[in-house]
Amino acid sequence: MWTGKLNRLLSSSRYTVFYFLIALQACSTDAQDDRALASTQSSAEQAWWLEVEFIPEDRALFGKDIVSVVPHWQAATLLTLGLIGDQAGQSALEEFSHTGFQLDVEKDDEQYRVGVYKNRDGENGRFVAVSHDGSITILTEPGIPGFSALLMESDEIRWYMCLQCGEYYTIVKGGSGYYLQ
Amino acid sequence: MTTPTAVVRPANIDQLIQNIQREFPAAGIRITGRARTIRRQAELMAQRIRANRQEFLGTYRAAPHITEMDRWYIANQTASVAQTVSEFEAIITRARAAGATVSNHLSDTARDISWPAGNDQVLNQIESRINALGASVIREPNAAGGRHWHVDW
Repeated sequence: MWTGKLNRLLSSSRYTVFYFLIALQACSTDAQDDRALASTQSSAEQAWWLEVEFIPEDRALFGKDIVSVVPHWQAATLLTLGLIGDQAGQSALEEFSHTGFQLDVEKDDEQYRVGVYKNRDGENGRFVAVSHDGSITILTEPGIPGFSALLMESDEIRWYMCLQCGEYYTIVKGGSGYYLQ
Repeated sequence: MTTPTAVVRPANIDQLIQNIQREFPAAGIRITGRARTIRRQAELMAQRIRANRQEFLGTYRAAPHITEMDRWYIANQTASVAQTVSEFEAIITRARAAGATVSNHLSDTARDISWPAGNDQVLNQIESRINALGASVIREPNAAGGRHWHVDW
């Protein structure tokens, strides 16, 4: 895990001060086999959310240059309903819209958003960004830049990489920051 | 519906599900998810203990494999992330072999599938066929993420 803290930005009446706390997950060699696994599974029909991929292409995140948010990243893109419709089709978008999942969740003073990234080594993955009190924590799932979504359940925020499934991460706030469990 | 005949153990979980899809086409079965792998669980736990050991101990219920992870970490604090992950993966594997539940639905050979279409008789036939092919089924009608079947091979 790498944790970095940017220098404090001076504020003015027109700008918000951000403190960026960045946490990177350990690279997952297992997750990097996602494409190999997907190709093995291509003969067994899969739901669209296991196959859709998005292109991390934005050079800015939350109004800031991507390098200032996560120095090791090359590009990132937040997921939107429009992107799901464009990449997975309107029927997929309709199916997603009928679930309780969201791409953007606000809870108390925290905001959670999901997206995909590409780092300077060319590795891709998914991320959830937790914004709280001017700071942003990035939690990642290395591998395919694919679908993910958030679900509020019993006062906890869950991060899923699928629908109609049982596997998810709980986003936990601890003394050392946010982490996945 | 195709009448299942031979019981030939599939090569892997994905082939098993493909067989089920072919034998029960009207059920509309899709693979909808995968279980967390042992490797991924090891990564999360390794990251946790390296970030905050006390928090790690407070997060996970006391168990022999947690103690073993903690002792290894204390004795190998200069180890790299990769070394820690590999060691934790081995610890988890041994713990599971000994019957410990490290995390619910932790598996390298499990898949979630969509709830099959059909009446109770059809669902029972599908589950029986999955069992005959060597896998177990947990029906999850009330899962928060959407109802599904969990198939472990």
